[in-house]
Amino acid sequence: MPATRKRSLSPAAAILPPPKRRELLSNTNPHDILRTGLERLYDELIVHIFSYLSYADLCAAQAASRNWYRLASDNHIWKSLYLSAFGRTRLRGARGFVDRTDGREVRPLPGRARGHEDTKDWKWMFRISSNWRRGRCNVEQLHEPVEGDIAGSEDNCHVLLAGPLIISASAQITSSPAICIHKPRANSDGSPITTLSCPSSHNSPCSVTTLALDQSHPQASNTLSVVAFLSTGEFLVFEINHEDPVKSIRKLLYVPTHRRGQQRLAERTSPIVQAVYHNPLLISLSKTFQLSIYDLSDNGVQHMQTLSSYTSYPPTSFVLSTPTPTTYKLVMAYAIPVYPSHWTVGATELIISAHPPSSSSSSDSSDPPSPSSVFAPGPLSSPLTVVSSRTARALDVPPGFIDEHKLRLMREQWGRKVARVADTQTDGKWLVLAPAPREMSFDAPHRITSTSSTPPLRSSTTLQLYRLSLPSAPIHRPNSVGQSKITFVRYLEGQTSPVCALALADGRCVSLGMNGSIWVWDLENGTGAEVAAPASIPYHLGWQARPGSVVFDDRRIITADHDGIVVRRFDI
Amino acid sequence: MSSNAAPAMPPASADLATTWAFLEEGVDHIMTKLQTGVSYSKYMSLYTVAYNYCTSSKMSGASSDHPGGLSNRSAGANLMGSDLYNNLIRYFVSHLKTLREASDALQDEELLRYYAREWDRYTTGANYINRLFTYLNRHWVKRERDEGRKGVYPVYTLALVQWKTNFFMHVQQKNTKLAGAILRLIEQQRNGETIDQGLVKKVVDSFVSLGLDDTDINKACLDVYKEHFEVPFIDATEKYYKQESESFLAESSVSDYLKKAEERLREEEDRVERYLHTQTRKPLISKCEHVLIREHSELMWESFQSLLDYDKDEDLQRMYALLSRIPEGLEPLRKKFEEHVKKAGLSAVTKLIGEGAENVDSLDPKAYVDALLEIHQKNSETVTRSFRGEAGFVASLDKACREFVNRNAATGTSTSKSPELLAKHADMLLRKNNKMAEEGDLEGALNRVMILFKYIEDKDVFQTFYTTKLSKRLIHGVSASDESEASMISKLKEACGFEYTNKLQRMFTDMSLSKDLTDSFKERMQQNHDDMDINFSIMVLGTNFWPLTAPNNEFIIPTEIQPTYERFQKYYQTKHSGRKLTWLWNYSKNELRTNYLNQKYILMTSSYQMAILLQYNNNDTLSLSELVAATSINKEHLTQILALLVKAKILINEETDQYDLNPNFKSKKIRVNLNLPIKAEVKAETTDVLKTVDEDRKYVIQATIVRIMKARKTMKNQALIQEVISQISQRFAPKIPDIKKAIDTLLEKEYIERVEGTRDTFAYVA
Amino acid sequence: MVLLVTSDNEQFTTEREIVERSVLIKNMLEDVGETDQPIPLPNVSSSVLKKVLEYCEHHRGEPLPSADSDQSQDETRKRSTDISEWDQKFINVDQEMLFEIILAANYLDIKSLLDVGCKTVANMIKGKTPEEIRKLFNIVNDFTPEEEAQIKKENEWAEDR
Repeated sequence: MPATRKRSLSPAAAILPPPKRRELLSNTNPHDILRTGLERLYDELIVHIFSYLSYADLCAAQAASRNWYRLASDNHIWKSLYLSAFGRTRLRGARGFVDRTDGREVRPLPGRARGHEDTKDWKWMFRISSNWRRGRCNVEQLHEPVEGDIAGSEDNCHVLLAGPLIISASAQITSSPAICIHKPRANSDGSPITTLSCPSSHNSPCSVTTLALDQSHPQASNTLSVVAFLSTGEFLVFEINHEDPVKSIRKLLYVPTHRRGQQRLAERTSPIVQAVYHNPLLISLSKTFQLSIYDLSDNGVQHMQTLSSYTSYPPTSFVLSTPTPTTYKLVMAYAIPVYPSHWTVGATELIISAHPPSSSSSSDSSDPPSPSSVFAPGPLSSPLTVVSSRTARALDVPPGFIDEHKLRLMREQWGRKVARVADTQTDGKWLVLAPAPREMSFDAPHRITSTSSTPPLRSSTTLQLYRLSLPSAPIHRPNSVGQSKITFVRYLEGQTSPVCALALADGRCVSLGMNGSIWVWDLENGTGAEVAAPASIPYHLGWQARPGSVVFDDRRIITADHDGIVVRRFDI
Repeated sequence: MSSNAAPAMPPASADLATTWAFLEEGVDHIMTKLQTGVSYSKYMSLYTVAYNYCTSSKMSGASSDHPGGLSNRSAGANLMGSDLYNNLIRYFVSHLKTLREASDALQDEELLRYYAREWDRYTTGANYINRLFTYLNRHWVKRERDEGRKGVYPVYTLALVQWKTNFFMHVQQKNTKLAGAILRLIEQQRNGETIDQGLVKKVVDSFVSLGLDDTDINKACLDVYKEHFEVPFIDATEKYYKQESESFLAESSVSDYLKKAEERLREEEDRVERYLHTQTRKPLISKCEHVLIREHSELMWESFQSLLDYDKDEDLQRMYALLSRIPEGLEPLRKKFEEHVKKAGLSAVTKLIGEGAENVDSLDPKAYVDALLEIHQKNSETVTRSFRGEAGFVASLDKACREFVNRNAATGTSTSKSPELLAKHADMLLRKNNKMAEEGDLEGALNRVMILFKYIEDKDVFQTFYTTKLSKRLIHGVSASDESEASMISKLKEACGFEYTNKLQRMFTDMSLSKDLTDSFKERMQQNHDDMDINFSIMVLGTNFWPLTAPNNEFIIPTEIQPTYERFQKYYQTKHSGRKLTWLWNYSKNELRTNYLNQKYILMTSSYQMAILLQYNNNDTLSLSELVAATSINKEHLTQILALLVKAKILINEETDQYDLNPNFKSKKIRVNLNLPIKAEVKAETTDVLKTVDEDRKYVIQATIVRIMKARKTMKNQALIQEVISQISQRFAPKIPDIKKAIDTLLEKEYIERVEGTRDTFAYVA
Repeated sequence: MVLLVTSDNEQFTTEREIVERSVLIKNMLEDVGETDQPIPLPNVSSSVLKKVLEYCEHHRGEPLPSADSDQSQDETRKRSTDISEWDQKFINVDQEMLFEIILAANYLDIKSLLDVGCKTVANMIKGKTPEEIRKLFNIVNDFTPEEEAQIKKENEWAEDR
């Protein structure tokens, strides 16, 4: 006889399910009633007892007997345990997916959904979160079919996480650039399921410079779009079938054309170092810090606007969200030079009018940009153009003379400037700055070279955590907002080598050290955990810089460096 | 045990059928025959049986020795309860069906009584059941709700939900039978019949209890009450009062209607208090206000005037109270009231001066002031009494008073008439021998002057008249008391500020300094000279503070006083060197003793009279030309003075231009006052004052313009005029032509200039 | 005074204030009203009731937890297994009696006593291996070896702490 789950028999209003008790009792050994000891306690009492136990004790209790296994698995116990330990009702996760209105909320892709919110498996959630907290994971190596050897290469490997898929592209210049789609576990040997070639129209060797995943609601339930930028300035849009990646197709190829009256094409498009895509809005950023906005509706590409900045430099980080149906909000973090020879971070928020525009928003779009704008938008703004912008920086030199108090604050800020910026990332709320040692040659700001003998800065292995506050404003008056600012929160210390790459989402930060070590930081609590120990060769100053990249979602960290792509899974 | 009729308690292992059979009997007992009582053993056995059933989970758990039971999906505690819960639902449904059927034939109050009785019984029973099934609530129901299952409630709430769907809704569906019955009872009460309010309250309260917020069952929710009672109730109220107020007004006066409406509103407030939910107060009262007041506000506004005309204070009060409840209800009243006060003020003045304005010139200041005050007093009382001193009516009163005080039949187009009359009245009050002062109500009278003063627009005119009058009082020593003078000045200061009364206060200072000066001069003279047979006292008055003008005629100082004159000049120069003394002979007074008559008289004279009379120390007869030569007073003026002396029979004028001393002068009084004003001087005074005012105004306007332009640098003509008016209106109402004239003057004097290329913009010339 | 009759027909006379620690009896006295009828307690034996009344007497007059205290208590306090000194001594009984007390407290609806009992059992489980737990409570291991291995693998994450 099957074990009946009585609580499934709840009445729906007046429709009564047939009683099952009689049937059940007739099969019960009457002697069962005469149990002794703990067995005499009812389910609810044992659950009550278990509610006082820790997760480890609960796991031990599960292993005691079949009955205890059942009761110690009780979802309610684990729910309250999860909430008390992690204080939230969902998993921390990566950014870049569907329906993120606040720039941080993450929901799984359609194919990955684990059912309705109400029937969450809290024990499973507790396990993953606990693994994250303690850095417990298993490691899997993926193979990248590339010409030549990535190791020692100056270039990076670009990685995206898209639900169950890992999408990667080598930054190597090659005659046949391509993006690879992996689905770990499907192929046990770690080679990609399929590769999609990214041919340039120029027929000359080129490389993929960055990738961007469509964050908008997918039109079809099983597809998602990815944009790949080429060093030629072209970009391609792919429609990837995440149920059957082999069926993925290339949707379009955009070849930028020079038009009169526009800024210089080369500056606008080559090379693109950062991009973000929320269909139909595509935003790209070139190495020379030209921000371009494209409209990709109706399977076409229309270049809408290009903005320039002369005070901001890579590395950068983008967070795109849709705070209202009529606007997009782009938050970007980047490096800012500090006179005479140092760096700090800044952040800019751009409000971009949505498509199609409502009549009211078009009138607002004529508002002049705030004076603090890093970018200067063109005089005319139409749909998918910037309507307002505001900026904050971590080191703000006040004009004129200052008093003692301000001077002390200034000194503190001053002490946080860094020789170089290895990476800076934001999730819209937090901002992390990874410094790099001065000697490193790096794909990082290099315009300012100085031999000035400033006192030694704080260790370049120490990350700086800032809180980014961009108080929200009534949308009809985007320029009337309160003070935007970047406030230093704390140092994140633990890593033993400088960091080469960061990933940041949802209050969680993953940092990849140049020695191959990986740390996970809980930004709210300020706790860190080492996920991967440093490689055997210790880091030293004479080292060749190891560029790398890192991404993560709610259950995986993917790192790409000269050793290839490594997946670390926490849902174990 | 003690209850022998009840079936025996089933064992802990009993099946559902046995368990429920036992429970159902108990539940039914509680729901239908609770009044017969429940024993402890009955209660405990029902609780225990329900408890035993809910805790029988152990057995199902134990029976699952199946492999593969490790799947996460079937994990967790098994809680018993759904069968009991479903059986309870089944019981409630059939129980309520019986109740419902019994109600089918019932109507109105009978139905309400049945409903209320059954509701009491049902909810009391359900409370019992809820406690008996407390274990079910605590575990099974709680877990179902935690998991978000809809439609599972604690047993008591379940009972209410069932009542609502299986009884309440069924009855209501028949033409809203239940709510209709309540509404009919309420209508009966409105018609003056006595109803069972407790019954209504009970039924209405049940509506409130039936509201359920599905997400938080502990939260009060009024949806059932609102939908099934409040909305139809408000509709019925509107209909009822619409009909009532219309037919009432068709037969009765507005005064009676006011009483009726007031009473109805109070009744409805009471109704909420007695048997409705407090949240109904707002919609109910606002609906009543609409139907009872707003709908008839036009009529009330129309009858307002007649209530005012007949001083119907109570009705006015009522109308005010009612109309103040609706937005904009009072505005028309305020306007009408303003008009009313204005008319009353104007007609009072017209009555005073007669139809043809025949009494304008001889208008008695006191009568004028009293007439104005009376109107103010009366209407001010109306505002306090009937309109509760409401600010809007106070403003209307002030506006009306300002209007009739400044412009009425007595003033004509002159804006200076009222301030003049008021200042004269004040002068009269403050003079010696004034009746008011004797009555001891001088202070009150001065306060009343201030009431009107507040409304005077040309306060500078009042100021000038007042200053003139005050100077006279001081010079002639006829002021009633320093205390009253000081009190009046402090009132004016309070109203208009230090600037306004500065001069007045300086005048008092001069007076007391002069007294000291006279004393010290006398003392000095006694030390140095013993030939002083002239009694001398002096007032030294600051030119800028006193409205006095030096005589424009020549005057030869009589030799008799020449030494005193010179000694004082010298004495004063030693005290205050560099100060120039101008002798105001026209304000001086003298006393002469007669030695040429049998009876010794004392003649009180002006300086000019004195100079003339002193000539007769040497001659008995003098011609006009001789007198002119001796005194230097111009002929015309001299003739007037002489005429007075002739009239007093001191001199005799028998031949043309020849004046003889009358040796037979006789008077009943020893002191003979010859110092009477000359007619021409009286008239000249008013004109002088107004001239002074005009001069002052010109200066004030120009100074104001310069001050404004200095601050603003450039300004448009219109804006400048506005600014000038707003800055000056505290003192007087400047006329636009005057301002324009002042601007022209300043342009001429090059204080300001026109901005090039514009016609109406001025710039300040630094 | 209130008269209680246990399942083994023994009678206890006690004060209303003491016996009202039991929400069940408190509610009944409120609903039915006080009479001189005996109150039968068919699910409680005399030996256990004696123990329970000892607890009620000690805690007489303390405020009863309100109905929604579950929500109002914060998570950490709810999870705390601290037991007061007197309660610890009181609950220091053999396992059979401990379970009897828990069952009686559950039946009589004495929340504080139920908590003390359950916390005591929880404290017994804490820090023990599955085998130790089985031994302590006399639990039969009814897993197949495959199942045991599966559970071990499933809970690996919780072991290395």
